[in-house]
Amino acid sequence: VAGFACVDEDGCNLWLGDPDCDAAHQVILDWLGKRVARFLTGEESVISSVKGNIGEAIAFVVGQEHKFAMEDFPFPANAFHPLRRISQSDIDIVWIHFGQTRNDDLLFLQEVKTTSLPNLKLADGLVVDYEKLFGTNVEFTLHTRLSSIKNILEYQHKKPELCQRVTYLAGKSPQTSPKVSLLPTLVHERTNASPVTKMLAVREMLIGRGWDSKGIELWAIGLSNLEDRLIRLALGAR
Amino acid sequence: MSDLPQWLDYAFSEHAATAMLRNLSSPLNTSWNELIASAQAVMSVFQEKSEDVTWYYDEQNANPLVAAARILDSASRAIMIESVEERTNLALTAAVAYSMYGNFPSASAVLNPLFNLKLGRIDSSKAVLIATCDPNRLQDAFEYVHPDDNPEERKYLELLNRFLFTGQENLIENIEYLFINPLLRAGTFIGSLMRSARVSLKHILELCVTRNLRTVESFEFNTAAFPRWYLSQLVRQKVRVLLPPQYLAIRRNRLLTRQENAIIALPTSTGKTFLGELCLMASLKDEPGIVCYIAPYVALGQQVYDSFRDHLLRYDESNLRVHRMLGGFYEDVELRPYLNKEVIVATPERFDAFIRLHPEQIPYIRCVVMDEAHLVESDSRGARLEGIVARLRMLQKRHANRKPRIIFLSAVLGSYERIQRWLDVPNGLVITSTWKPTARRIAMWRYDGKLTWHVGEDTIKRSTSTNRSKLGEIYLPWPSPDLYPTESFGTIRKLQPSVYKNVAYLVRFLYDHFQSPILIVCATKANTRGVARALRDYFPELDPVPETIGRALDSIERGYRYLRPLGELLKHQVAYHNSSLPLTIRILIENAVSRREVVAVAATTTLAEGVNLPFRFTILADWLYWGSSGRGPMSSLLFKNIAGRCGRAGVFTEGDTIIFDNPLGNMEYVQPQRRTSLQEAVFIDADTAEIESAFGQIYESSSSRHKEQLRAVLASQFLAAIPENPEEEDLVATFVDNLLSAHDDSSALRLRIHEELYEIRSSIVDESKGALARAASPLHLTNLGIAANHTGFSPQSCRNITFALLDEPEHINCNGFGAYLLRTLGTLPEQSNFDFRKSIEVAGSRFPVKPRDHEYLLEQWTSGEDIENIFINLPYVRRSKRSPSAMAWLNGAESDSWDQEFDKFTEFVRSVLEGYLPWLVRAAGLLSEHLDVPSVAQNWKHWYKLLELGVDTDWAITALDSNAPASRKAVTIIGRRWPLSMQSAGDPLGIIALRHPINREIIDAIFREEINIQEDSMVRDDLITLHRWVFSKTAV
Repeated sequence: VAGFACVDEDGCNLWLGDPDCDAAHQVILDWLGKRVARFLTGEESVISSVKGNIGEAIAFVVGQEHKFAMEDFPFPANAFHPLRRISQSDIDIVWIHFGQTRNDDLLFLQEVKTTSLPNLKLADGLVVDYEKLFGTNVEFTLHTRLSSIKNILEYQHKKPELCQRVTYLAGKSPQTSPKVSLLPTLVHERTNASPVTKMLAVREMLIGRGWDSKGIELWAIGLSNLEDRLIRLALGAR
Repeated sequence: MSDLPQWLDYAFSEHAATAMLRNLSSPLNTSWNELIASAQAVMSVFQEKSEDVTWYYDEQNANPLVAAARILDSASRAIMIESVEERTNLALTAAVAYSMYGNFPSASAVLNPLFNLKLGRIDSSKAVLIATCDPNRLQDAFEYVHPDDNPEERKYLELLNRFLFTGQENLIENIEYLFINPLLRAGTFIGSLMRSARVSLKHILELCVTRNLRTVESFEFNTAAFPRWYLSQLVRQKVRVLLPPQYLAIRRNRLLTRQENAIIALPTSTGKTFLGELCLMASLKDEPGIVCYIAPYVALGQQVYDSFRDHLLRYDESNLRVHRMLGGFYEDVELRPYLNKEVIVATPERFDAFIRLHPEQIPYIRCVVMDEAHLVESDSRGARLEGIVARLRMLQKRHANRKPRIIFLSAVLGSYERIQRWLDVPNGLVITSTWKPTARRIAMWRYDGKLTWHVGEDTIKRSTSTNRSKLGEIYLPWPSPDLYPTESFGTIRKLQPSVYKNVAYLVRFLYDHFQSPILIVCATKANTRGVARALRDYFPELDPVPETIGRALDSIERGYRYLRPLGELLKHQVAYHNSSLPLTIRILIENAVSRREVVAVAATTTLAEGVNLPFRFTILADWLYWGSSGRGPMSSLLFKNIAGRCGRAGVFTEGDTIIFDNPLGNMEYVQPQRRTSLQEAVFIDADTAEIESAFGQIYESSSSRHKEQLRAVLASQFLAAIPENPEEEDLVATFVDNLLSAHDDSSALRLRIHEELYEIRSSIVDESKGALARAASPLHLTNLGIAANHTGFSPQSCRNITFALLDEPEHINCNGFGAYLLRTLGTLPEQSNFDFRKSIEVAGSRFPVKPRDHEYLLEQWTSGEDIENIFINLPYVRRSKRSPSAMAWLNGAESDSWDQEFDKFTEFVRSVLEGYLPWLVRAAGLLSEHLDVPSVAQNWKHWYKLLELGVDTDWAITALDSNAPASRKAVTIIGRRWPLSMQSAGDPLGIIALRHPINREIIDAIFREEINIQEDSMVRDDLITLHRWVFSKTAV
């Protein structure tokens, strides 16, 4: 599928526009056009939460097109409603793969940070977000999110038989959660940035918090003129 | 449970959370993060289990969820978690987890502080969630759900409310449907909780009181029919959902539809009393009659009576009446069981008297519920209970329909076989459960300073754990370690203050960590005062004092100056509570505890056994107690009962009992190794043997006095059985067969009791002593025997009373007669006050009341004088050279020795003046009617009332009998001045006469005059209240 291509650099998946960033922009814009009722108008400011939501939408499109199969279930927090001015503070995108049996089920947790600044400091927030999954605030824990997902599976997807399987996807800690993979994702300005170094540092920090390195897949999605591009996407412009 | 993830060890996690909340050093310690995730994982598994929620009512099934709820609850209170928001979220999650296994009281206990502190924003989804975890919050939930803004949520709440009131099953589908939309609209967190709360909702629908109690034909069986007004009243009184053990008793055991006897042995706070009430109501469903709830303590009986009134009397839609027969021995209640449904709440003594005096009512008795039935093994009270049950059993066997039905209630019974055989209870009606709404924790504070929590009896245990397994410990050295094992009375007295200091230190430690009320249980009244005084130093003086404490201080200052030291303690938020305190002050202290104004109370077991107050911790300051056979370790049954006092359901979710390793007492118990093994056996293992018959003590007790008391009870009960079984050929054999003693594992006791009863029988028919029964077969009482039976005394005591009456000098007033009876009959076995008995038997006894003082004492008593003033004027007290003087003590000077003398005196007043003497006078009166003692025969009824109430006029008797809201003193003052011309047989209070304006002026003037000259402000206030009461009666 046109729009994005992936390069592995030191274990970090670098997603870049294919053949160029405008092609990627067009893919995202087409996807948004099917999702949103209306784009923002010139009079409406594109606030940072909307930009973040669009970043999540970009990550979602890449994931849906390039990593996950049709039968996998995505549960995005904001990607389906990127132009809302309020963001939900859930795990940005949860992907569930239901295998042949309960033992084959997999859970992918994608936290997304979007920044056009060259220092990429915002990526540090990815570690904080993943820490909440087994934190003491039950509002943001993984089990809370999974219970909520069961509601969607049962009442929206009409798949109540899958709910019990969701229960077993998570443990009590990173170490007891072998079915969980992390997809820390940075949507960043393509020029003048070195996302690989940053993302490798993120991986080290996650490993330090008990996550298995094999279960961490680093994503960096680079787009040129990101700040401007996000605004244009919000406005529905090419 | 196989559904749980393999990595999950819920028992380990629960133990760890328990240890971590208490900051214990423990190998179990882990991170709160992992514990919380484990708990959430359990909830996640159980979210999907809502097909048949009755599965949860087996505690083994629900245990992982119980553990999860406790973990989340503990986490919400852990100091480590500082964020208020996080703690609020945890508490809400804990509430949902509790409600997921039908533990709505604990859900409520967790939610209450959230409401009180107004923590967390409540939107419509959250309101729906809260109402579903705690149906008693339904009315609050309405406030947050406006019908215009949230029509579906509103509709859900309205339908749920309607269902709770009606139990209509056709609403269920709609309610469940309406719950889904709020669930889908909620955010991630509330939505996830609502998924769990779907199970809670299923429990509400299943446990709904009205659904379970109304007759529904679609049930597999018909439940008992309860009138609609009754069910509505229960719902209004917030009795909306059954607890799981109640549900199982009704639905699985069919407690309310079967006719056989039953044993309900459920833990504290699982609603035994309500099940008892339902059994009574079920027995009355078809026809009028009598049902009786027997409570062993007056305070407990009063609680039950109040509850029955709330449930049964608010709406006068039936011919149902509730009567109280508490205290006193013979005060009569007029019953019409052929017309009315008569519900009686009685003490065993009063119930015994009732069936002796009214044999014609016995056929109307449909059901008898016996609360705290394990007391059947305790001393003469237990023996009386055993005798009563034996008589009821004989009655049952004579009637084809097995009436009256007998229901035994107990929170502490561990073994039931003997009782089951005795009562002939089918297996299906031995109703037991380990399900508890609150966790019970047990800890020991030992001499080495280790405060150790053990797993104890909790059903959540790791496969490798036993009751004695440690959860963890804190090193908390005793601040006064100078204690050592000793049984020397003098040394114990010297070391006792160190016990007080150590216990007070522990109280402060616990209060610092948990900020919750603490009960300290002591063996003696002196120890309650000692501990409370030591506590004072650990709690600062409040300024200003809270409202209830202020009222107690005011009451002390105006009427009980000798309690000023208690007043000082109250200013520091601590108190003691024992039966020496005036009832008014005791009630004020109880109210202050309920309102969390008092944080620690040192009490004797009287408070600990009876009243249900919100204590979070119980500390056992003394573990050796005086009983009828000397001093020994507290029994497991009593300990379980006391431990059940902390962690009140609906207020707390757990209660901790801590045993202070007190080394003072008999050496056979307090040697270090022996002490530890005894304490572990009694308090941690808490094994309970089969209930023993109290009559066995006739042969085993080391106290001849005790044996004598038990023989007297046995004989009295046998006497009562004679007229109740007029066709029984061999009453001795039949009576023995129906005693618990006959069901002892060995036949030896049965044979001995049999022999004992033959001797009693021989004595009863002995014409040389005045036959009480004719020696025919079957036995028939003589007229004297009938009178003796009505007295409630043993045959031998009746004969002694008879002899005393025949020897009696001609007494012209009740005080002289009362004094004569005390002097001549104060040593009968029915008189239980040991000190008083000794004062009669032994010259030079140190008891403050001497035989020569009796008449003076009774004059003071019947003149309405306050007991502290009577005490202060006793010759023994007036002669005393002690410092401080008794007068200084009366005015508030602190004095242990006067406190202890007064303890003895108040015990004497309670047991002898208010209890034994009126009973004796009544017995003398009944017997005198068959003897030639006209002065007694003519006057005893009058004297009995004067002595029982402690007043000296008929007017005062009538006023107190009519519940006049005033003290003895106030009614005595007015009674003496009320003109006789204004009293008549039909108008003993003179109320009709008072309608005449001139009479009104006369009485008004009397009141004004007495009020003006009265120096005691409390009596003055009483007179003003009495004035208002009297004149309000004329309006009626």
